[in-house]
Amino acid sequence: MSLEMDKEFENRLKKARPAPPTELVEARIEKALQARERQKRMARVRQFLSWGGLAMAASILIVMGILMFNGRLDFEKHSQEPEAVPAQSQTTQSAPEAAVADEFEPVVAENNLKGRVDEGIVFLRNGLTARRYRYEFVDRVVWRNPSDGAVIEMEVPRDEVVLVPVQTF
Amino acid sequence: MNQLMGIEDRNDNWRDWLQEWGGRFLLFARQQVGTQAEAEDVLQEAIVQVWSKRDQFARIEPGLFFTHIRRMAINRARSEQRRQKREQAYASENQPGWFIPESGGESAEIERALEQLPVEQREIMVLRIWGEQTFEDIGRTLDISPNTAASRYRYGLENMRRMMKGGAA
Repeated sequence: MSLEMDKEFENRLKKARPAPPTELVEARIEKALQARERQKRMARVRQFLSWGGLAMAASILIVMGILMFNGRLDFEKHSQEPEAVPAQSQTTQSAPEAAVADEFEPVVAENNLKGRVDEGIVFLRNGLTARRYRYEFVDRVVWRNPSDGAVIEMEVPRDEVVLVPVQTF
Repeated sequence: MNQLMGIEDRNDNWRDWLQEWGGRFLLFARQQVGTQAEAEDVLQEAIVQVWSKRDQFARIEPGLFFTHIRRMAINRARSEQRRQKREQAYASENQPGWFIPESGGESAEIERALEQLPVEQREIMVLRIWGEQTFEDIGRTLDISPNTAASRYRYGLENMRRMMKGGAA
């Protein structure tokens, strides 16, 4: 068959126009695309919430940590407040007793130097020469509960090494 | 390409695609699945798929839709093969035609001839004649070489000519 005949036959076939899809298809596509768009938006929101939530929790923890470290936030104190003052017991307690808080307070904090040992001349890695002194401390902290006079005492031994540079010629 | 087709690159122009290419897409979908309803489902899924991922494609062109239609049809066939076989015989009795009846006068004859072609020739005929695709495009859509596409097209054309009355014109 010649190319011309092929072309003619092709044109004959092309005259037949494909039937379009029903109108329902358009509505279904629109609905499906809207649903997809909603899913995408929800996924974005969920992603934001998961990361945003983590960041928010971390920020809250950091702020609470700072406040607790500075002593501005004391959970124990606040949680004890409602139980500590029931309405009836308030009237039976005397004023000085009520004022004394049932908690330990630091009363002593000290560093006691027990001695110093001269360990002699040492050669440092960077080539310098130094004299090494070892200071022996005992750190002592005492807490006292004013309501019952209970005392907690803690002693921690501690060494401090001090290097004093030595002039060499 | 879509500029050449007279379709502007607007955000909601899937409707334009559907209006201008819907019939051809549907005709191709009809070659892939058994019934009109399934073909419309496949067409819908393909358009939704392409449109919701349109940012990922360098350009939106007919070949992209044809490829997605085929992919959707294959996926569908895999998952619904048993049900399809059962329903196909019943459903094919009252199916609307593939072409607009009054369009060429020969539409029924063309459909009959097309229907009798082996699937691999039929889908190439549809892509080439009504889908206006090059053999390169057809090769990409069907995962075959352009030469194979051209060869199958020639066989298809010849077979159709033989089947249609006065095919040699």
